Amino acid sequence: MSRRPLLHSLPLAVVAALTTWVAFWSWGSFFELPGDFLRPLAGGILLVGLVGVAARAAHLPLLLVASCQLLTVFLTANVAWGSSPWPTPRSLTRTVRQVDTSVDALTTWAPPVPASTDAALVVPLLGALVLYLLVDLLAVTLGRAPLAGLPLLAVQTVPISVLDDGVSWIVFTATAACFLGLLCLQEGLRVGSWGRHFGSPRDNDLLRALNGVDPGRHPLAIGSVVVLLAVVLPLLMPSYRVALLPGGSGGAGDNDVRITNPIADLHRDLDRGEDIPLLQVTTTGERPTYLRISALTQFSGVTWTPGNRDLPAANAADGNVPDPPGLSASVRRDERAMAVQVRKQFSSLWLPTPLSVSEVTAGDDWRYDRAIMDFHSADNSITTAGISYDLVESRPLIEREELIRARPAPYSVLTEYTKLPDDLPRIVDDLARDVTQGEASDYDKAVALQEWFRSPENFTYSLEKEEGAVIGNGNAALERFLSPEGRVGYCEQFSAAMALMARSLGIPARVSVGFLRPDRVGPNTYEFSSHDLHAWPELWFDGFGWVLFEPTPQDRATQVPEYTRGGEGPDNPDPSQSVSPSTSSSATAQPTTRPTRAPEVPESTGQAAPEQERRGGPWLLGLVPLALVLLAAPLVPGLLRRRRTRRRLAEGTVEAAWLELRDTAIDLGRSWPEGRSPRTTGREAMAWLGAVPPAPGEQRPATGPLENPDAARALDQLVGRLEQARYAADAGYDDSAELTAQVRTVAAALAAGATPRVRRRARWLPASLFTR
Amino acid sequence: MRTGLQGLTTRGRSFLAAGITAASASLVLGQPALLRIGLLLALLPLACAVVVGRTRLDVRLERSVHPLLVSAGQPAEVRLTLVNQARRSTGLLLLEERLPYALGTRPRFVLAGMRSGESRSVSYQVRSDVRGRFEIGPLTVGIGDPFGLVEIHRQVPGSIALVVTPRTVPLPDIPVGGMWTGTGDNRPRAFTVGSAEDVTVRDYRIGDDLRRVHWRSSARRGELMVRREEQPWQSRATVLLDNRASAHRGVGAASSLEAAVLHAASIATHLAGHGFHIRLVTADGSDPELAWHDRTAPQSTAALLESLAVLQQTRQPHLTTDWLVEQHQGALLIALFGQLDEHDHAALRRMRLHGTRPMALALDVEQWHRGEAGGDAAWLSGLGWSAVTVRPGDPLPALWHELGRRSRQRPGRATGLSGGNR
Repeated sequence: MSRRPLLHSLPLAVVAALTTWVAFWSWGSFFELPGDFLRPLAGGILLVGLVGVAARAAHLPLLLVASCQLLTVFLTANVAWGSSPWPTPRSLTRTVRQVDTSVDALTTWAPPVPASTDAALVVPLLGALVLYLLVDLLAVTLGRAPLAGLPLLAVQTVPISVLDDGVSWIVFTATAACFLGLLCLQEGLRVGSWGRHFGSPRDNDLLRALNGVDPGRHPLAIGSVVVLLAVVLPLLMPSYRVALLPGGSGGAGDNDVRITNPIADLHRDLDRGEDIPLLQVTTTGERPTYLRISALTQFSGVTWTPGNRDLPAANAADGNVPDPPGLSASVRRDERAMAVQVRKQFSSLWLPTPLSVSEVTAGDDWRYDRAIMDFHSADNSITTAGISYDLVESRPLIEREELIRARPAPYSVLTEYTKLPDDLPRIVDDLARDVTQGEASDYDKAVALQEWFRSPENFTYSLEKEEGAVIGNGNAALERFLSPEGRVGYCEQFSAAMALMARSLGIPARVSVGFLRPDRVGPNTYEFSSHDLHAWPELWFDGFGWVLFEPTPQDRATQVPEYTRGGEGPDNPDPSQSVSPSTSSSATAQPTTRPTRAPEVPESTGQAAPEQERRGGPWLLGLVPLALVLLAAPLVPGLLRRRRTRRRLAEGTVEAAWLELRDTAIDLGRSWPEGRSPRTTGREAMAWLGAVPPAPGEQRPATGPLENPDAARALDQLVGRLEQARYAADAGYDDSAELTAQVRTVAAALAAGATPRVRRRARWLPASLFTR
Repeated sequence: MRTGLQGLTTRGRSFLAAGITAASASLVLGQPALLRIGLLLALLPLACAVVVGRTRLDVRLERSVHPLLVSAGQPAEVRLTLVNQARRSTGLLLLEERLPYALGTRPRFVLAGMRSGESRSVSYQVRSDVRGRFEIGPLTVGIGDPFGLVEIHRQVPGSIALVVTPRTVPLPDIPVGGMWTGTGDNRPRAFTVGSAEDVTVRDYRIGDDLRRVHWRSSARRGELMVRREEQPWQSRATVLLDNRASAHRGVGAASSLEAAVLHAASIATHLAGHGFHIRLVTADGSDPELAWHDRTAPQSTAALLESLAVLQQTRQPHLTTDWLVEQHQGALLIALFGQLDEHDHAALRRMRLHGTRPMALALDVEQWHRGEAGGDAAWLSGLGWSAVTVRPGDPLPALWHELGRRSRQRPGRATGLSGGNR
């Protein structure tokens, strides 16, 4: 087994190396620049592979071959990271230190690892080379290609477990194709060494496996069908995860939760090493703040959910949109245009928009619900990733006095938005009454709540669990958050708690999730990043609709809305801050949100994916080839049939020509007499000949030898030749050009003898393909 | 599909199992990427099974062996010709010829696709060191997929028999049947016409005695026929091979029976070469097919050697002596005995009385088994046989020479042994 001639194992080694390298494309998304990883890996694989080829050519024992390759990996690592051609104590320590650094970097950085951190590459490269060594050992040295699938599987499962969305279908297809090639090649070698060649020997061992295989069993045919099915079938099972695991959310399952409830990921997105830029807004005027992604209208006791949306096609966001619900037409507004550009990393099913818009041009795929006025994608496979759109913000100018005077909310709003679960902790209600004691209007109560939350004596803003921060927004979390021992949390708890307390006071309330405040990145250009994600409560005031309040403390949200600034607020920010917010926001918001650099957070898991929502891209991409295949499918029978004709005529033997005539007749629905003598068959076929070109207008053309004497003569000659070839001692000569001409003549005449419908069927769906 | 699934190789089964495991794990864990891998692994063997199971094989096989009869140790050439009768290419086929173990390893061939109507042939050599009749074939055809996941086997029926005769050694000329003439060559006299068996009447010739007219034949033929009383000279020899299981020791090629068969073959060939008509007789008696073989030496030996090639042990406890009825007085009898006992006494006596001075090679069978010396030659000599003891490894020419010497030393009572009979 190990004693293979060099020439035999060389292609196997090449394909094994290629397969491994292609499989490692899936690791590319660990790094910001995949090339940084893949290029050195290609070099390493080449080196290790060459050593293997040479060692096998020298007929070294199996173990020695593998040892040589392992030694090569070691020496290469020593040269690359120990900076010494030979292993010396110093270079070894240096290499080990590099490995340590790499491990550190990998545990601290969430993927993708930034391009600047070269050190992180050491361990993945070494691991990849060792895996390749394993593949080479199994597939080439031991000649067990299927076993090499195990290390390859390991390569592919690493991204599945580390990254949420696993391996892209392109990488999968390429890897699968290479692996099948490897299998095929190895099987070819096995078959080649199975026995002598039967009949005329051919030397081309390498292609033998492919050459001799009949088209029905061609590896390309089987392989491509299987790979296509493997890629497409999972796409056709869209809901299998939901069906099997209701509410399941382990590992990659987080994606599902995000679809229905954007708030659940808030903590995770905030509590992450890196501040990933997500979208860019270009506008004039002052800094755009409070970009809403989604409004959460229902509280179940477990969590806030967006509730149901009614998204008819008429409510497409491509142009003017109606006023926000409840906003009276008499309220003055400030209008300004905005252009929003969403980065690829941010895929959301909701369109981020300012709180109040009069025009959104994002296309038919985005719809709004009249009662809620947030923008949701019409199809769950469409996300915001990479799109850009224009809108016009129309900011109502809300007067404090008007809010005080606001009348009670309409009944429908009141019932819908003051619903509370039965098991709501009593503390919510009690506290709400305590805090708002003595306040008269809804507005005053709301402001009292806001100030109570923002007061540093009462609450601390923190994301850290260790500091006692509550995670989540369910009943239990809320009780802990509101109890005097707790009172540490972040925007999620603040907004949820305030909304619930408002509801318990009879004020309609909901929670919105979105972006708080962008960084300025250029003139009139602002960038929202993952650290800017935020949640806030919105309370209903008749005449104004949903009005924003900001209960999150100053650590996070520096300012409260202008209309909530009464006279007596203790922590009322200095008005000057609002004049120059650019300095204060970046200076105060960021340090409290997160430490600037992730390396200080060792427990940061690798799970954090940059994507906000489930990606829909591969679905579409997978459907495109499927559609192409479906479109091309009707062409296939005809093409196959014509290919067969060409091959037969090229063969130039009478038998092939006769077979071609038989198939032509079968295509045309004639019952070709099987097992008769050529003469009898010829006589029957004579009756099917029609005139060329067919007489126009005739539905059923006349047939018979007299209709087309040329064809009849050609058929006669063909029969004669066939008889000579079959029965005569001297088979005569084959003039293939003449033969071809005769076949064409007869075939044309046969076709002319059939009705146009039959002719069409013979052309597109030839029956002879399906008979044996 | 079903045939394809049954043909799943270990590799195919592993792929299927791994694929199903991965696919179900992915469904349970919600990992779509794993589902893809699982589907790939599971669908590959299934697709191969469908494709391979659908494959039709329509080939015609012609097998010929040359020569059909071969001496042990000599090669014979088997020629296989395959014709693809199907209307499409056969694709890659793995062919394996079924051979008895004695003929060596099974020849294997790779047939890389035959187009419709194409024919290919290949030949290979077989050789056996043991005698016997061997069936060559049928041919097993393996149809596989390009990934080695499915392989189904079909048999192309038809086989051919190869007869491997025992190896013979040339023997020195010795005087047999007491007709030693001193020239060293004991040729039977040539015949005048035809052979002895079929001529019993002949046309009347002028001068024939009327008393010899065979009236019944004359009535049938319509002309006078006479009994033919003069017969041509004919040398006849009976080779008796004691093939009783109880008389022999050892198994297979190393058994004493094999030695006896080898010696019998050499002696028969030798005698046939000297113009004898040979009859082979075993413990079961004379095989009707093995009745007096024709004289013409090559065919005679061929049929005789073929009988020897397939000769098997028999459970018969005693030596049959029915054939002695046919034994003409004075015909030469050469016997190869295994172990004899008192029960054989009577048979041996009858043979002795029918023949002139029968010759015997008594195999000392215990030497093939435990190595104890023994042998019945002395006992046979006491019964009036010329006998030598045969031990393993004794060269037959020397034994044959010794046998000739012994029969010369003590000439038997009867005379005219080899000179034919009347």
